[in-house]
Amino acid sequence: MTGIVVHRFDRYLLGHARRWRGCIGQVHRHSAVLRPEGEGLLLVLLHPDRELVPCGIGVPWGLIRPRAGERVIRDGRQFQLETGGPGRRRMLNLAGEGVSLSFKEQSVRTGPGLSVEGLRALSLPVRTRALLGLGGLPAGGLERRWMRKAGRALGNLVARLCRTGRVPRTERKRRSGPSGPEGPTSRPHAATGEGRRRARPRHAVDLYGNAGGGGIEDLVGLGTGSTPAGDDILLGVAAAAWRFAGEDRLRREALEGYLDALGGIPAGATTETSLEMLRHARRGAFPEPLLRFVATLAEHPGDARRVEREAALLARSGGQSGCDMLAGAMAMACAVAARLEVPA
Amino acid sequence: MIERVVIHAGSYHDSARLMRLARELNDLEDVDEAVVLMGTGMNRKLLAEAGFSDPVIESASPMDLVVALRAGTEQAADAAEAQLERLLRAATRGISAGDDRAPAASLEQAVEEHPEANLVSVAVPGAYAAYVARRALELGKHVFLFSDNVPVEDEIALKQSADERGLVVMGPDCGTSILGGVGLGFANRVRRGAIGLVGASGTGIQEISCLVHAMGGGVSHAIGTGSRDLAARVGGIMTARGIRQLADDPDTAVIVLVAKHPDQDVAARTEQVAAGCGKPVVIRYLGEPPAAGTGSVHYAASLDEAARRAVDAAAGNAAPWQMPPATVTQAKAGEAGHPDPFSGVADDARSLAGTGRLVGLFGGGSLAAEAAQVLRQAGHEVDTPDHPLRTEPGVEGEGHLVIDTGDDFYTVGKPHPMVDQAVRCGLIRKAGRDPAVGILLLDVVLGDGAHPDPAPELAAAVDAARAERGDKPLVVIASVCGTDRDPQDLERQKRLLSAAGIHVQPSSGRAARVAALCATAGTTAPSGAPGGMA
Repeated sequence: MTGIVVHRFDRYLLGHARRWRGCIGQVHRHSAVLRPEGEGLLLVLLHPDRELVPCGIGVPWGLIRPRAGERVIRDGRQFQLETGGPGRRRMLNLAGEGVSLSFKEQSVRTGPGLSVEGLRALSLPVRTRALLGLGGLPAGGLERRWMRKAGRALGNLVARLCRTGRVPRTERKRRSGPSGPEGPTSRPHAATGEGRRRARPRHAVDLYGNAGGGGIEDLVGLGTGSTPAGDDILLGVAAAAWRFAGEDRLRREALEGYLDALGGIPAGATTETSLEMLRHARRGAFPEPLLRFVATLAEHPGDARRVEREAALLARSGGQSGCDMLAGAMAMACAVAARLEVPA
Repeated sequence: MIERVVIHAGSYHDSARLMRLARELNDLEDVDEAVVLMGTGMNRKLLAEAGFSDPVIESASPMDLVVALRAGTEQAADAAEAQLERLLRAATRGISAGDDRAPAASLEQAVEEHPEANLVSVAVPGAYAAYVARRALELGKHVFLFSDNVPVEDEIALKQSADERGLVVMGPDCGTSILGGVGLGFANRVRRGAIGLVGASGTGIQEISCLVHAMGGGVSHAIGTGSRDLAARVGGIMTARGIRQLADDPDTAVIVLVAKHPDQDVAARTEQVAAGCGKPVVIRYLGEPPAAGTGSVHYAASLDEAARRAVDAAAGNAAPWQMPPATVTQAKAGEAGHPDPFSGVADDARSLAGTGRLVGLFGGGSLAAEAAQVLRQAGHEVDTPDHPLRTEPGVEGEGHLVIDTGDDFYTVGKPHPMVDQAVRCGLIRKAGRDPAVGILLLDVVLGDGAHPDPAPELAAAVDAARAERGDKPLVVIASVCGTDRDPQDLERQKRLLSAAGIHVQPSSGRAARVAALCATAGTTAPSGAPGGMA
């Protein structure tokens, strides 16, 4: 085998896009997006210090030095990158079985200790806490505005997911009055009765959702980041939904409804990369640190240190995306835990 | 209030870059807010709701970069826009394919273009580093191997191969080397001189080289070996080679070896190599009490002592082994030409009214280890958590803590804290606001590769922590590892820290000793230094 051998890549690639032609699109400091000619999967070359994302390939960055506009041709396990200039042709060979980034049907039972109080006690980044309504919203301005919107939409979404299997793609504003972060009081949580147990503080985003809203439209393309924060939140929710589906913790039809909703996002609603990541979420594939965090949360929910460690690693992935994905996954896990805590 | 929206069509950057962009714009004078968003439908709607009425907003697509600004004056908005253009141009230049000359695509091509080079610096990810380093050795080049996560088997094979060829492999995970006055990795700009360093500790080398410089001495070469070199499996191959190289170097008169936790057998073999090299050798094993030296080999009790002895020996004032086998602080100032580097520590500590828990928040791992040892030797119980520090509702545990913020769980996917202090500053704010914490101990590392201006960020974090504590005092003690030649301006860094009420000490060892005395709450500070020094 000639060329540079790589072992870290999304296993999904072994069965898909085996004949692929395209070119290198955007080149960032630690990643490069490979665009197909015509329709097809976007591929991502990653600096191996970066964890894998769906359709990602970890490459020796200093040797490969991807450059925008280079042609890329894939034939089976071999990728050829070239600019046309002398000495600029490089061959990459995928070796081994790659890394699975997919949640399959979950047969592993969730471990003991998943509780709302336990989750709320975890040490989380400020941005994540703000999105979850646990304080720390910026003092004012646009940042505060979108975070409040996102937090409210997130609360509504997870509440809806735990209540019903259908998530409308287009959710009309149906609130008859203030609620969540902007209202003076919050409504009782339909499933948990959280609102009955204690009044939620003014301006707190309702972590457990409320009766209104719940469509994903309120989150798609919202907020800062090259993959807007709202999309990352949706990814986090999706990962937790995949993991907790079944076992009577989250009805499978709820997950299917959510995946349907993700499939209905129109092409121009958000960035190309976000759309691609959400497309992969529909098949249960997620960035490595998100996958690991949700798995740890599900299997060791009572081990706060372990969960916090994975949360910290997730939060540090990407510029802001990690914190936003963490918020989505935490909100979903909390909603699931709250559902479990409701007396029959 | 001036509101302005700037759209860059098809300008796509990664999120970390967008964050930095937003932060830099927000830091500009008279700019109240700068938000960087992609032009999605939701974000366009958000801008409209927030009062941005420029019709250009509606022309943005999800692949366009939208920057929304609020500034106090037109001039400020203009300045912000100009800065935005500059930052985006710089960002694009750094990553685009528009260079006039294509960089070498392979090691072979680079060697062909620069046949005069005799060293290859390898900073590719660990999984590929051994491959590149091996190719470099085959091409007859020394290797500076900055990469970490290189399997130990590869390290052993590389070092054996290099040793057979008479070459040096500095690393893996080699943070610092200085060869012929040229720094590699993180290195301080030090005077050239007669002291050669060999080290399995990056910040250990930096601290010693800075102390040597401050004492008027100079460094011939500093050879990093990688943190595992003195482990049993690796066997100190490159430490021994480094000592021999320096022994053969006519510009080197004295050799200093600094490392962490060597394997005992390897340490014994290394001592034999040192004893037979024909030049005086001072050894400092961080976090360990000094062993009894033999012949021309002397073990120092601290980095400060090692530097002092090397400088004096290089200057011909006294050979390192002419001191009695006791700690330097037992010597009176000036005895045998070795002034006590820790004299006055007790006075410094007395001037500080620190009570409560001590939390050390370090950027340099070796300095953290050394500080923990000083505290323990002073009789304090010290924990070094192997997980991210928990700070809610208060700092975890009850005793003193020493944190290396360069640990993997703080740095995965992030720059090292010597480059980006965001994590450490966050911890300073959180730990500092806990009323049970009374003393913070910090290190500040300057030099090439390090943060360009660390003091203001650290000072701001300390200010914020103190503001949340109200009247309860917080003693903050810091050392600055740097020289007057470093690009960050050593004196300015010290001045800014002092102005923020941070007690600046000239070395990490001294700072730890002052902190240890401060932490001895409720007892009269002893007249000497802690850590077995008194």
